[in-house]
This record gives sequence, structure tokens and C-alpha cells, in this order.
Amino acid sequence: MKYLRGGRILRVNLTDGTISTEPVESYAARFTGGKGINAKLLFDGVEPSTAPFDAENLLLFGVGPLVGTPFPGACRVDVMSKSPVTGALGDAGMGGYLGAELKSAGYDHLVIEGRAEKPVYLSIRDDKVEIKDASFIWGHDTYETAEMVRQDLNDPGANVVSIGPAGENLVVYALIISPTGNAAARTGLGAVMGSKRLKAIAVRGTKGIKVAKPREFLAACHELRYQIKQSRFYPDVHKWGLVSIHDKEMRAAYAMIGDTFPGAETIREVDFATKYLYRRVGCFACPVACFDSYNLPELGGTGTMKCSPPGDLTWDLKNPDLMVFWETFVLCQRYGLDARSLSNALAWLMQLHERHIITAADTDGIPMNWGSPEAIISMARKISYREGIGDLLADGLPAAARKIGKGAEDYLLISKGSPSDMHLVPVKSIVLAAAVSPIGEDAQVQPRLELAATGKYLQAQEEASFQDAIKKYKDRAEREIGNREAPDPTVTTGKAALVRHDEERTAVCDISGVCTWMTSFIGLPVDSETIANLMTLGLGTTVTVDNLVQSGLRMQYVERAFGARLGLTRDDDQVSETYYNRLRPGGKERPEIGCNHAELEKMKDDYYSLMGWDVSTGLPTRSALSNLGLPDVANRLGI
Amino acid sequence: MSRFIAIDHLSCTGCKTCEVVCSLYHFGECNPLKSAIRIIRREKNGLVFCLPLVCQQCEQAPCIEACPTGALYRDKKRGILTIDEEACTECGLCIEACPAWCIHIDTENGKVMHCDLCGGQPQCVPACHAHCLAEVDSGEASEKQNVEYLACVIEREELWSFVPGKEARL
Repeated sequence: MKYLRGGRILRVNLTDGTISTEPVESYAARFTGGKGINAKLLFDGVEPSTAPFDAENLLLFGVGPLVGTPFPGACRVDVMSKSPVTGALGDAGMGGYLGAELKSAGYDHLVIEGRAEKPVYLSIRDDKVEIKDASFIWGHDTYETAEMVRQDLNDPGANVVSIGPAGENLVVYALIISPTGNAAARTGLGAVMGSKRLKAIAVRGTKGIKVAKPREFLAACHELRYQIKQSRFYPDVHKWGLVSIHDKEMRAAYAMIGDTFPGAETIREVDFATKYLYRRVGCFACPVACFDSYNLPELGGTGTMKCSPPGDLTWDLKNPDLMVFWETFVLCQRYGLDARSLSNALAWLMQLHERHIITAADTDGIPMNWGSPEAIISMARKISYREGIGDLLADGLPAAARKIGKGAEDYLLISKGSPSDMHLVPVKSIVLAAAVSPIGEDAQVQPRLELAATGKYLQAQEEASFQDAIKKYKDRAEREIGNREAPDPTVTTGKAALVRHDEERTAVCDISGVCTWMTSFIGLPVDSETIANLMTLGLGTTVTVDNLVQSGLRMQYVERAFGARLGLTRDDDQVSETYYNRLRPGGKERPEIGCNHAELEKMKDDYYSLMGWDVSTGLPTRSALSNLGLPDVANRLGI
Repeated sequence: MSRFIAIDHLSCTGCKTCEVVCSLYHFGECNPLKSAIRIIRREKNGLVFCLPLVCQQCEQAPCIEACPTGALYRDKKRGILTIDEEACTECGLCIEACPAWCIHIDTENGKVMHCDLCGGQPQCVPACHAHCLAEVDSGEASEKQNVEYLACVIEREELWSFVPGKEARL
């Protein structure tokens, strides 16, 4: 593996302190890299009987082949483990600079095994890998931890990721985060890291990454950057990061969901950014720079923020005050807690309070009123430190619901046990994507055509004007998936194909290490073809679009097989009842848009057929696995 | 009059694209440690500050003045800093002399690395999405586009600890 690779998988066993490496080559041909190889390492390495916090669970960090090159947005690190949230697959991606550094140190993958006796951190400096004492850091927040590790190593520029108190306390919504706020936030990977008593990982690499055809590769990167800059949506995201898009999206989402509140219209992230922005920040090789550094020392603190948290902690909780969001969000960053899960938990408690299922006495004397600053701000600490009601929530919402009883479970908005994004509008394709995803709702998989058409549907006065308004979406659907009816939000037709198309987009990004936001997701031009072309130039051997698509499919098969070994089948591809018919634009029920259970089951039939899985069980068959070159996976499944 | 890559110290997002583009162009690999342009990044308490540093082609160049063998000189025709590798003893005095951190040693082979404007078409400039880098004529440069100003920014933002060999200035 001369080109585009670190070349090795680094295995660190925290129980006995052994450190070993193996070549990544044997995995690369079938699984490409990043999330693809991680999936196979997890499938091979974690037995069904292993619980998420057992020493035998693995915590995997994987870096795709394009990471560390100037390919736009090629920065992603895939983090995978058996999840304490889903009880099955756990996976989250993080951007930033760790991936490029790890590759430069000579590693494509890092496998953490076992459990240290005392708190430790891991230092990787090229070939020198050390497990170091972290007793003096344990208990500190993530801001402090990165500084303390760097001081201990006498290297102020070391790339560090760490957990905070939430991870140490095995809070299932704990994340792993860098000092620039890049986080593997979902599915509780910070808690797995905490269970291994691993406080932080610090990396320095000096070896660089070789490229087969440097000048051609560079020219192609320049060209791609040029194309990105020409995109219609680029000027907005480049100027504002995500805040401007997000302002529009939240309004559109809640217009469809219909659950709005006084003061919502005053939430303007653009104003917040204008007032408090310290610096724009971008991940490695990213031409967008979607996250920002903010300086509000007297108003909640300093920190970096991107994407969804401002919506999670305002709109979703009927809280019009962005300052409440900020104070809570900084605490989440410091404690190492996933803000989206916190937000979902809060919204659930607020519903329970509104319906008199719980009272202030159940929540440490704090009434869980919608939008209450006291309720919102205090809960970040309560959950992270397992104080009072926080202790109940820290083991996950389904467990908390069982303990509360009184029908509390009926109000959860979750899929596969994982708290969902409350402002992701549950139209048919979105519900299907959440139901069949191995980790529960995955914000990266968002087929946009049906959502866009839903907006038009609600605006249109009559059927004819609606059909006219969605003609361009239909044209695009025909082009992309060969089904003109797919964008129509009133029918199940073509929804599985929309989901497959979007899964394919994210899978190719995830195995190559490219941020999915470089793609059509926000209207940018990176696609499988550009990725294949650049990998061909980088590796010096031909990589086709089909190679990448097949490799991405193998990853999905292996993820599915991991669940199958745990006994998960079609019956487990569900969303909570609250997903169904959630759309009430203008307060009116609109059952024809949105999704119900029967429609989901119908779309699942279509989806499994497209995947080549058995429609009755939702599982891959031996012949399908063999056709994809995965007979070893079939053998391990015993089929 | 010489051309150089001017830096807008307010707009760098720290993406490091300039570094890997430079190393890819000159050395055929992606390695920020083999780049004539370097980004220093301070990440403290969520406040992230990034600053690229690259040769400012100073008229009174401290690095040239410090060179004991005359290996480092200004190419009269192109007007840019040039090194005679035969004459260079790899003593490192030029690196020490630079007020900021705009000239480097390749730790692998001891050779001096400096910006050569890629023979006339700097690769980092079009790769910089943040409009932080621009190729300008020294005659048109603003008062903030020089090595002393970069050194001031490093000082003001407390970035010396990120500059190898210059931590002592703290």
C-alpha cells in the first residue's frame, strides 16, 4: 500500500498494554477504507454476547484513502463500536484534523481493545505508541483535557480527541470531541471510550501521504475546488457556514410539522453569528468551513459550533432564546454530551410534564415547562454527572421510560433506541431511512426530493398546480433512480429507491473519507465519479464508480450482518409511533403526507428487494453475500 | 520589485489545504512538514485562531543577511529568494533569523525549504477558499503585508509556543 494509505491498522489493548500493527491491505480491496473497513473489523471482532461496556467491545477509528490529501473535505474519521444506545451498531463520523494526522503517522485504522485498570490516554507519535497515565486528567472537561494532554506531552500542537465527564460517567449519550469541536456525537461512543478508561488520544504524524500521480491529482483537486466555488449554494455556505441555511431550514421544517410557538420567528442564527463570531473555522482541506468559533465569555462561554445544535436547543424545545442555547451547548461541549440527544430528552420530559405524566417533583423540583431556561440549562450537567433525574436519563431514554411508566414510552421520538432529530421532517422516505438504518436515524441520509416536493404540495392549491410545481423534482428522480413518481409525498412508490440512492451517496463518502456535505446534500458537486477519478490518480490504479458503489454496498451488508448476529430482523426495522402522521401544517392533520405503519412496511418490502435481501426476514442471503464477494460473512452468520 | 504571497491574518480557517498543496506540488506527497507555507493554530477553550506563514520576500531580508555562505540570495531576474543548494551548509541561521516562521528545514534531509512561488504560478493561492492568500507586488503591498506584521500577530495572539525553535520568545 504505497499510495493514499498510512498502510497499517494499529491495535492497542488497554487490558494488557500490548500494541501491534497489521497491514491494512487485506481489507482495502473489498472495503476501501474508513467506515467500510471499520464495519468489517467490528463484525469480525465483536461477538454477539459482548455488551457495549464489556472490555471485549472494540472502539474503532477509521480514516479513508482520500483523507489527508487536498481533495475537498477529505477529513472524516469514522468511529465505530457496539453502541450502548442501540445495543447494536454504533457509528459516528467526525471531521477536523485527526484523520490526516493519523494517516501521516502511518495508520489508517486504530483499534482500541480491552479496558485499562486506571485512567489512561494514548499517545501516537509515528511509530512510538504509548499508553500514558491519565489519572490527573480524569474528571476534567474536554477543553481542559486537551490542554493538559498537550502540556503533558510538551507538544502544544498535538491533535487530541477526548471524552468529558459524560463519557467517564458512562452516560450513553456521551461523545468524543476535539478542541475544535469536531465530535463523534451519536450512539454513545464517548461512553464506550469511558468504559475503557481511555480519556484521550493524542496524535502526531510526520510521514506524509504518498500520491501516485501528484501533478494530475493536484490539478484535479484545483478543478474540483473551482467547480465547488461555481455552485449555486456555495456563496451562502461560504459566507455564513450553516447559520443562514439553517435559519431557512428550521422555518421550513416547522411549517410542515406545524408545531410552532410564540417568539419562534425571532430566532435568527445569522444575527447571533454576526454579533458573536470570533473566527470561521474549517476542517482539513474543506472549502466550506461550516463551523465557527464564538466568543461570549460573559454569556455562557467560548466555543465552536456548527450545524444543528442551535435548532435542537431552540425550536425543538420551544425556546426562542439563542443565549439559552449557547450556554447549554457550551456545557455539552465541555462535558462531552451529545446536544441532540439532550434536546430530544428534554422535549420528551416537557411533553410528559405537559401531559401530567411527570411533575416538578420527578425532576428535582424543576418544572419541565416548554422553553424553560432553567430546565434546559440545568439538564446538561444533571445528565453528564448523573445527578438526580439525570441519572435516570443517562442510561438512555427507553430505560428511563420503562422506569417512569404511565405511558411515558408512547411519547419517545426514537428509532433503534436512538433519540431522533426532532426537526427532520418525517416524510415517507425519511421514515424509511430511519427504520432501516443500523444506528437509528442517520442525519446524513436525507433524501431531499420528497421533502422538497412536500413543501410544494402544501403550497399548491390544486393537484394540477402541484404536479406542475414538482416537475423538476420528477425529472431529477427519473434521471437518478428511474422513477418519476418518487418525489410525490402522497405515495410510497419509489421511496425505497430514493433512500437507496442517498445511502449510496453517503456510503461512497464514508468509505473514502470525504465529508458528505461536499455532495448534493448542500448542492455541491462532489459525487462518486469525482471520488473514483481522484482515487484513480492517487492510487495509480483504476478505481471505477462501480467499484466504490459495490464497496459501499459491502459495508452496508456487513453492518446488516452485524445486526443479524444479534438476532435483529425485519421486525426491528421500526421507528417509534410518534413518527407517524407527525405533520400538521397549520395545525391540521394531513395523513396523506407523512407516513404511517402500513406505508412503512410496504416501503420496507421495496427496500429489501433493492438491497437483495430476503423480504420476509430483511436479511442478506448466502447467495447475495457470495455475489458481493462476502462468503466469509455468510460463514460467520452460519447461513 | 518582487512578488510574494500576502496574508490576510483575519480570514484563515485553518484547513491546511495550502500546506498539502505546496508539499504535493514540490515533493509529490501530502505532508504539512514538507511545505513552504505553514499554518499555526491555537485551539483554546473553543477559541480557534489560525495563521498561515509564508515567505514575504522581504526587501531587507534577515535570512539572506544571516546566511554565512551566500547560499541564500535574491535572484535578480525573478526577484525572489533563491537558494544555492551546493553552497548551503544547512546551518539553520536563516531559519533563526526570520522574524516570523517563513522559511523551514526539511527534517528528513536537512535542506532549506522556502517559497519559490511555484515558478510563477503559486499553487496555494487558488486553493485558498478563504481569500486569505493573494499574490501581490511588493510595491502594492499594504503596511500589514510583511514579515514584521506577521510577527506582531504571532506575538499578539500568543502563538510563539506553536513555532518550533522559537518557544524561547515566550
